[in-house]
Amino acid sequence: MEARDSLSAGGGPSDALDLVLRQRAHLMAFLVSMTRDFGMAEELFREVCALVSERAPRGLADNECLRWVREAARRRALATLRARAGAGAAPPERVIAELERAVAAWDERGSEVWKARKAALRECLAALPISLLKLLELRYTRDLSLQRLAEAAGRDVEAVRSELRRARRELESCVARRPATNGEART
Amino acid sequence: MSAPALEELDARLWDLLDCPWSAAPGSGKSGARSSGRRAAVVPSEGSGWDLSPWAALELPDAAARWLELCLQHVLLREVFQEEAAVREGAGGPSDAELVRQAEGGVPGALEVLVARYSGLVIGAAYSVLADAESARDVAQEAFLEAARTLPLLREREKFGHWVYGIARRKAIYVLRKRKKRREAEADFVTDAEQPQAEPGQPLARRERREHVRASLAQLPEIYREILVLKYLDGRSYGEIGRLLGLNQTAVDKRLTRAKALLREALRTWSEE
Repeated sequence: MEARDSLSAGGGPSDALDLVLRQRAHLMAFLVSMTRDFGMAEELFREVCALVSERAPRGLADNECLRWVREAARRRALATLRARAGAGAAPPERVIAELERAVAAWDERGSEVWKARKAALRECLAALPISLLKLLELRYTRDLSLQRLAEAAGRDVEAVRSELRRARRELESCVARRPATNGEART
Repeated sequence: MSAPALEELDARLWDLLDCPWSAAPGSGKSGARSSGRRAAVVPSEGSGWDLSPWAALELPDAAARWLELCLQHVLLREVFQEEAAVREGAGGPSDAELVRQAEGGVPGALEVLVARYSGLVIGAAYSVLADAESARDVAQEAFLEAARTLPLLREREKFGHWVYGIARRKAIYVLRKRKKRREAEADFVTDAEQPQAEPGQPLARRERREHVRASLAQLPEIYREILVLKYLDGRSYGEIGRLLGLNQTAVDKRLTRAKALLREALRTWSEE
């Protein structure tokens, strides 16, 4: 479906923006999956919110509205990637199509999916060994790349990479054991 | 598919997230060049995404897995950022104390205030300008002005609200300048193209966009401000209440009224 540059009758931009904010984790994951860059994804997310607040079509069902938003997000992400990093930085069309399909499946299940996952992650982080927790904390509060993370931790890049891998594996298996998220973690 | 192959796929996918192309040496407009470990994962510009590790799964499953890890990345970042914000709010010196220290020339006090409010201030500017780069410039100017005029701030504990107001004022000024420039350019173009000008869709679209902007701009300041805070900045009711000095019921009432006014303005237009 093509993103329409119009305001049609019905719900209204603020309702569409509400919907996007409720499903923000899905849209952010989609933007990160396309750009491979959190900063750029956040910038695009804000741009998409501004676009939605101005031009979201009225009178669409939630799933149709989210499809419009994904389409708008995809086009913005591709344009930004091409402008900043060249055509090679954009994922192939067939990959994008699969990513959109997977996000649509999440959206259909509503925001409870990511909220439950986040709550589970919070609980599972508390159960991680302190050294792994500190490493993840450094990674995500200061948003350091692997190289800079290794420098900040005063360790070898490969060692840090391997520790991060271990931390994420443990987190994932812990989250998968939680009743609310059981079976969601691995597709 | 074997477990080691899947683990290797995961490791490579996480590498993509841990080594964003923008962090690679020489990255930028010239291309997503890379070195070291990352080079094995993402080839240089022009050769596209390296999908060979994805062969461990069928494409739909590999894409779903990639998205899954991206979601986990997003959620982990949210969790850690939220915890950092709570720690900062609970443990750090108050705004009033930091303002007092900054006025007294204590090194680092102003930097802490900037770190505490930079997100809010950039967001305030962005909500007006819808342009990240200009928003950052405006935010920087707002903090500079705040630093210069700090002694004029009577209620030191309201530093956040104060600097937010400065940023919005500056952003609106930039927006007006832009609008004037656009209008001058448009007048020039229209004059220049008069013989070929035809009424059509692009003009209607521009008009609609202008109308939404104009409808928002015509709302009384208190309603425009609360809509921007809630829907463009994504602020919670509690945060809005603190910024505007309102309790939750008042925030709720004002927001409801603001939405009704905006809807009314847009409906009137669509019926015309």
